Amino acid sequence: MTRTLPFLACLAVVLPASAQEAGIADAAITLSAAGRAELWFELESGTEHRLRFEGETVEVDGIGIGSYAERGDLESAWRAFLREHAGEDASAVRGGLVEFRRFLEEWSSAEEVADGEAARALAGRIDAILGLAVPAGAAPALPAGEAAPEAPGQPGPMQIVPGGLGFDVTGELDRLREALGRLGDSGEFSEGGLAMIVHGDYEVLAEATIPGDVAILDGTLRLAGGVEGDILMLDGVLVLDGDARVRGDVLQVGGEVDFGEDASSVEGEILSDIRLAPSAPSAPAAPDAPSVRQVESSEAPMQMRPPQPPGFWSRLARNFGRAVEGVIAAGSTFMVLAVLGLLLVYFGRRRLETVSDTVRLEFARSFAMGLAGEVLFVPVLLVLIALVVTWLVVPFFLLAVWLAGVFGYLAAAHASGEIFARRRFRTEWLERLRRSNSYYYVVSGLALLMLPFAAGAVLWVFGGAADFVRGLILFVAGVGTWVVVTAGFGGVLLTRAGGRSVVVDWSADSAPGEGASPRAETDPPSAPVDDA
Amino acid sequence: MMPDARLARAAAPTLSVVLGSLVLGGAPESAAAQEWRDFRTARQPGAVDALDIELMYEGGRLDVSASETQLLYDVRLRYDAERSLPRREWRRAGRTGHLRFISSSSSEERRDADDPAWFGDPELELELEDLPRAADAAGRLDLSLNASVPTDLRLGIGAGRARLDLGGAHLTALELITGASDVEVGFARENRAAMELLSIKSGATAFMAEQLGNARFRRLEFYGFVGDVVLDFSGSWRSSAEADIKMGLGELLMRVPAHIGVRIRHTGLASLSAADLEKVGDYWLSPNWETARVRLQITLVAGLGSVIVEHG
Repeated sequence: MTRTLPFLACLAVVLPASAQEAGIADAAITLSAAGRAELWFELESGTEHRLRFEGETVEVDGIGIGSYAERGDLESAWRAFLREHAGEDASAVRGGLVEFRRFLEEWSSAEEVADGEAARALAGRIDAILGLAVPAGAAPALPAGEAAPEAPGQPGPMQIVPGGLGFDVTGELDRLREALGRLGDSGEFSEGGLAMIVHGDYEVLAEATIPGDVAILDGTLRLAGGVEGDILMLDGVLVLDGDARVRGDVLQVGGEVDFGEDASSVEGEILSDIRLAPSAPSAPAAPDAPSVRQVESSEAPMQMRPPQPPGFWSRLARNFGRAVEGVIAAGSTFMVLAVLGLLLVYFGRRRLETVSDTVRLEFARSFAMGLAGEVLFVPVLLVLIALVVTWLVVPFFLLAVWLAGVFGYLAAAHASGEIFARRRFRTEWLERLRRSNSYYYVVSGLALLMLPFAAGAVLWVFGGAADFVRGLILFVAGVGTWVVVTAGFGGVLLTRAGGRSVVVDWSADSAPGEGASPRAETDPPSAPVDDA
Repeated sequence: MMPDARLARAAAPTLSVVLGSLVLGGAPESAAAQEWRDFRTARQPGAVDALDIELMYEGGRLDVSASETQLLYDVRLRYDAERSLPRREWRRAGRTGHLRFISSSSSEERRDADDPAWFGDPELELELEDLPRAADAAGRLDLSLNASVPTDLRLGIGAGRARLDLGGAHLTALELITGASDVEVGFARENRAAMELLSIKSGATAFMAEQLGNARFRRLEFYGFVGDVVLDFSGSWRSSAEADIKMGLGELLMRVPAHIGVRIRHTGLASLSAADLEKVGDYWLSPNWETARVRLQITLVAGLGSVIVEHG
């Protein structure tokens, strides 16, 4: 009961003079000797309402609006009204309810405080539900001395339902909670923390204040009064009149918001993320595009969160797509590099083999040289840029480095293929793969180097379950590629792009120190056996 | 962050040299479904009397303007949720508000959306390589500034078109970094605050800045890599200023009003055409350099291309 008392201020709903009175289409009365005394009725518009006295609490549509003294005058009058109209038709019930409303107006001022508050609140609700015009100065819940607000002239039902409704909105609240998740962690809310849930057409008049958060699930909320908390909007329409004030934020994941001339009525943040109709993708953002969401001006950062996780089949399809995409990417890269490699063998076989032999036989030296080249790349580039007059050289420098990298990578692939070809395999089918020519070396070497990338891509099929293994494979593949590129780059530098050999011919008869020097730069490279 | 995402980023500098362009050229782009959304964030000034905005946009259409709105800022974004993910951070330190907004594109960045690292550095420096890529041609972003609140504005634009109508704004600093973009910056009305530094870094763009004299900058830094650049210094100058302009490759046109005394020191290989200026020693001087109330000193380094100076 204590929770409902603050909402009495919200119930200061004054019907506009021009409001249309609502007829009752159907009604039912429930009376028990010492328990419930309830009137249920359905308006001609189809809206259902329930006025109930039970357990010293007056409820309207499932929400407590005040307390009454058991067996007091207010309860007795209510029960008398119900008994009198039990079994009558709907129009008679409506007439009786109007009479009871007048009784409340005349009676309430002479009774004790609790019953008086409940009577005033009930009178206000009956006015609101039936669309009754209120005599001048008769606004029941207005504080003494305050002028009645101007009639906004809004037709249709006008109610404020604080805290909940007589029907289940759990599903809508769950949808709201999920949608708010896109906007950040602070979008979380508890159903019990809501001061008002809007599921229909309502109006908060100028003198009324909602003492907490408001969730708009459907319908229209015209706000001329105040909201102490945030407004969370799933769907429907929110109209902020000129005097409206929202102390918190407006968080919108659907529906429309009319902020008026500007959004000055919102003291907090306006934050929205709304999905557009599929047919309206590329149109420019409308100036008055609705939006909402709440976040305090707190120091805590808020991040957008990705959409809700997809279902199993869509995840499977997405993972499969990623796998195919990765394999195609790896395959395409292999094809392009293979074509480059074959052209290089055809047009520059001697140089390619020289660099390849250097990488294969002087790997540590090549890698060290490549590493040094990579380290020096940035300083050299900076020097070229800083000197200004050398800017013309910069593009050629970058091109030369890029070509050296590609050339070195292909040469390293050639070396890998040659090592693969020279290895003896136990299985016969692998033995059949063995060839001894540069074309084969380049292609097979590239296949070996690209294989881990393709394998990592294939593991996308298993989704997140294979994240670690995929990451490990890709890490190894990435490091391996860097090592190969570095060694190849170093080989290119050492041999001056294959123009000279620096490989020691260890197959020579002379042992080290007896003839062949490790730095005998004139030694010929070890030529592969070419069966092409 | 997922392991492969870390790897991809770590290995990218090396791999991109050898494989990057080839992979991009050879791999087919997946045709993902589109899910268009409207995002908006706005806020009242409240207790904030100064604002620091950092905005990075991967591409599409960007419009920035100053208005008489009572909002402190208003950001509206139309984006494809299948490709982009907007993120924003709001902090308030004392009476200064800090808004950081990014709209990123890559799938890795989307998967890393919960990674707080992006928001962790309050002194993030914008650099060209940090710009998000993959312009979304149909997307757009509108940023409205409060003309009454002093604002430091830092913008990063990946690709696309940008129109910055900053006339009447209250900018205390402006830093603009563009990738491959078509950018127009205009100060149709005078900036409401003096701007200590106006910094522009431009990648491969068509860049035009108009009525820079209304910007009220004390120092202009313009670094252009490739593109056609127009710098119009007209406007209601209040005080003298300096400009440090570096151009890599392209054409640079500078228009300086007749009542402004201008002195240019030019180095680099690009040709300089300044019919109204006189070469004195290392400098090109306007005839009114000694007598002008307002002077503009330009240090110009232009690599390749041409520079045209119009005075009058």
